[in-house]
Amino acid sequence: MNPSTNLDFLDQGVIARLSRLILNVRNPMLGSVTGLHRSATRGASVEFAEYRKYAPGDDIKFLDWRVFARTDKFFIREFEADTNLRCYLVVDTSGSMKYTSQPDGGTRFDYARKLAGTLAHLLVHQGDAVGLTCFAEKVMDLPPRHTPSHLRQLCQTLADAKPSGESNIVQTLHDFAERIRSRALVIVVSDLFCEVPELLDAIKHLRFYKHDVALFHLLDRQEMDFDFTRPVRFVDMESGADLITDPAIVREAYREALDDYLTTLRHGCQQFHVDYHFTYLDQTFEGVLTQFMLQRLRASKKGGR
Amino acid sequence: MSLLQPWTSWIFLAVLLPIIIHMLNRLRYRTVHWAAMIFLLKANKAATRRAKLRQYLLLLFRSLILFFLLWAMMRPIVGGWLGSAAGGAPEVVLVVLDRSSSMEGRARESQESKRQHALALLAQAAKQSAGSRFVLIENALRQPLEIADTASLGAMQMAEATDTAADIPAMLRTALDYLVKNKPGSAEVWLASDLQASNWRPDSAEWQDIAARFTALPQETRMRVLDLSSSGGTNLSAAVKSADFRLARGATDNGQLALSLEIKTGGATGTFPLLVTRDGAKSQTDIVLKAPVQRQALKFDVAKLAEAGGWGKVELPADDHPGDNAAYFVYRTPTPLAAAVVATLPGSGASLRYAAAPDKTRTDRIAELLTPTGASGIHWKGTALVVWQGPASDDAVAKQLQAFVESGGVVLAFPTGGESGAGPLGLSWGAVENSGKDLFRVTNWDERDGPLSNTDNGTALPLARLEVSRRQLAHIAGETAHVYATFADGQPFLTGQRIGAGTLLACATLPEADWSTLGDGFVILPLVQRALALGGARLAPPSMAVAGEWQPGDVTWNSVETDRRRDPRWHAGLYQSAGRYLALNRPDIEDNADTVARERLPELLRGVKLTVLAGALDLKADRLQSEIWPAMVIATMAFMCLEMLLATSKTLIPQRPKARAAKPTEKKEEVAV
Repeated sequence: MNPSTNLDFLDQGVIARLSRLILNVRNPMLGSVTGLHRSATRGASVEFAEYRKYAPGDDIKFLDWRVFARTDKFFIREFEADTNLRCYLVVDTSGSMKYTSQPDGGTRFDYARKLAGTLAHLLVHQGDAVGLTCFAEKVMDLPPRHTPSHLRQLCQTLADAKPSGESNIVQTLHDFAERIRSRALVIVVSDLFCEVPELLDAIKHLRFYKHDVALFHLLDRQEMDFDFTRPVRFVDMESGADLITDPAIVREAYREALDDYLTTLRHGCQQFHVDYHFTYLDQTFEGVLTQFMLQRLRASKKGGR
Repeated sequence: MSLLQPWTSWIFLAVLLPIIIHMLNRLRYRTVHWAAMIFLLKANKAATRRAKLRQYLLLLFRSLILFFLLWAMMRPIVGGWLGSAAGGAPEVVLVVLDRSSSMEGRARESQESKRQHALALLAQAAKQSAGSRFVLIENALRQPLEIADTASLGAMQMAEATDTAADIPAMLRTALDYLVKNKPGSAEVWLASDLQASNWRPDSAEWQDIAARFTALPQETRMRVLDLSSSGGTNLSAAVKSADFRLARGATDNGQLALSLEIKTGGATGTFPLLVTRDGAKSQTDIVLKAPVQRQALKFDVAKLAEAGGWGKVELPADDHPGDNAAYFVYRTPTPLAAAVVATLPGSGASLRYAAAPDKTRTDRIAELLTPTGASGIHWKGTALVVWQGPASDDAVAKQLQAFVESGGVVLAFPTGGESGAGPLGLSWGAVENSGKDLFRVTNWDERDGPLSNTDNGTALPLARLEVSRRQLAHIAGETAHVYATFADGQPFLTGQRIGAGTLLACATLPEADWSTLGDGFVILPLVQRALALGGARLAPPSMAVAGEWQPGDVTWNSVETDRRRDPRWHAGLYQSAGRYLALNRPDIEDNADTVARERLPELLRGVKLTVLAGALDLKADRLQSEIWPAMVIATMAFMCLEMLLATSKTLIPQRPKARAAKPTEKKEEVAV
């Protein structure tokens, strides 16, 4: 397979337009190198953070002598630290990601791949490290790096990924939370077809380690509307189990079940400060990403930066 | 219910179309690979009894829409009487119409007679069997008559009112004969009757034969009975039992008319006006009615009786049954009646001769006393009554006596007074019985009819005072003997038997002093006089007859009354022919209000496919059968509306799949630089 063909899901124009924005985080990070993001520790940037009382052992070069002259007390000036970001792109590659209602349209996985690939590009370009976790029955990990070669490898991995099998997103996220304990931005791209309480437990686990969690919930419009008019044999894309039913009979119950699920999920995300993005597959991914990045910019400004 | 467009019933399978389409639709599924299976499984689990119920209701409504639509197209008719005629019209319909006198009774609050009502119902019913051939059998002629146009059934002369009686078994036999002779493919008998018991004779053994013949018919034959019986209501009926003219002593054309009426009140009591028309002159008299059946005697002085005699009628006030309110009579100078008394005992012979002709000065009663040996000298043709006391005569006289009786004469036989043995006309006398201390008493006798009936003014004959110390019982061969009076021990005192046109009467005691007090005259006089009058009927042409039973023959009879058209064959009234009057009255049995219980009809016609329309009298003709397709169309529309409501109602699950509003805001934001 020609590698250049594999990376067709990346739209350079969109990347170029979005690169004028900064993908920010909502919480201070603990990076290894200097970067664009606020660090959880005090550092040597030019941005004043706060005063604190002098303690023996502090470097006296940070004493504010003017304050000492006015108050006869020693205060140390502290400055914000800027650090880089580690972002983990968690992409669902289960069989259900192959779904599309449009015969010639892109699948849910195509959409997820575009989102993940574009985000990876933007993050690497702004100097942040990006890792990738593809999960289905098995989990495939790429650790976060900020090098262009790593970006190429990541995109190639996305290009090579084939959605199949059953997913266990809950277990994947629990394992992930246990494995990655330093603060990071965790972006989950999935259809999230699982029990909501269990999913929220996993998200809570991630939030416990102060990860900034963003969810891209991808749904097809037909999955919402369920507008079939004739009896249909539904075949589960993951397990292969089938069910013959008259959509007219189950439509209302289906919609009620879906509404309950979405309401509970939204409420849980709000409760655990998860950046939740409900996305239809017929939306442009550029628009979705723009909205995602602008919301984060606004959030970071409100946070003082 | 029957169908005017009786398509084959399989067309109703079309009702299953919605269900078949539904099943086919379920089979015609397409396969979709689906990701959101978790919700679908939940939805299918919960699925919703309501949704399934709704689906079933929709199927039901759609099936019912088709059902009622098809039904309406078949033009169903209802009415009950022809309800089971779904198989189509029969080839022949035999209309058996009871147009007897009782059928002229009216239902309450109706001016229509039962017969007219029946004709209207039958004409209406006939419309629904347009393809059938209709044959009328009525009670007067009992001849099958093909009806060309059933709409004119009510205007047919052969369906007009009559004053005759109906013989329903005989009419049904005529219908059976017609069916056997003409062999139609399928037939129905429509019988319209008021179920009058005297017409139906439910206790007759004929019914078994009729039912057996019906069930044995090769073609499918159904009988439908229009029950026009009515209960309640007031009905008075009048009948003239006798109209006797008695010449005044020594006169030739003036005298007294004695009318004996029988009035049936149906339970009504009170004073009622009775209009009497006599030779065109009307007079009114009030009568007091107390008993359900009452005898009324009226007497009129006649100043001058015409040679042809006189005529008249009595009328009661109008009631629910106008047909039985009038009765007609004719009277004329009585014909001299001659009696021959043949007796072996001189005492008895004298008493009997005296009883036959008590007044020697009168010429209307003549009696001669003879011995058995002189019996051959009787002028048989001019004799009304032969009183025979003694053993049987020799063969020559016996033959003459037999011929006399068969021609209408009356023989009144008395015991031999000695040894047992044969009497006249096959009669045999038993041994002489003595009563001992307890005399034989006559305790039961027929007070209404026969030679011992009450007098004109209703007084009973003093039979109870009769003292019988010796008796000799008569034994009449055959089973047709009629006992008119019995002793206290049940043995017959007076027995009678019809022989040919005449009558044999046998009395069990003698008018002898050592036998009984019969010779006192209180009983024997009316007994002999009545027997004499009965036998005298053959000597003079009849002046009163029963409509339907009397036939005018070749003589032309004209109605004396001109108020309406009358036919002497079956209309009561006064008729005149060649200077002679005749009064025709309806049969007595027509005044009998008893009816056959409707529940007995299946028993009488056991095995016959029978449909009885009860309460036909209260049923309007246009209600007998009516098309109900408008109701079917309304039902169709109603179910269509229900189906539409159910299919489109938002409260009962929206069925039109609608796209949902987009959950996320799709507003594009400007890219901030």
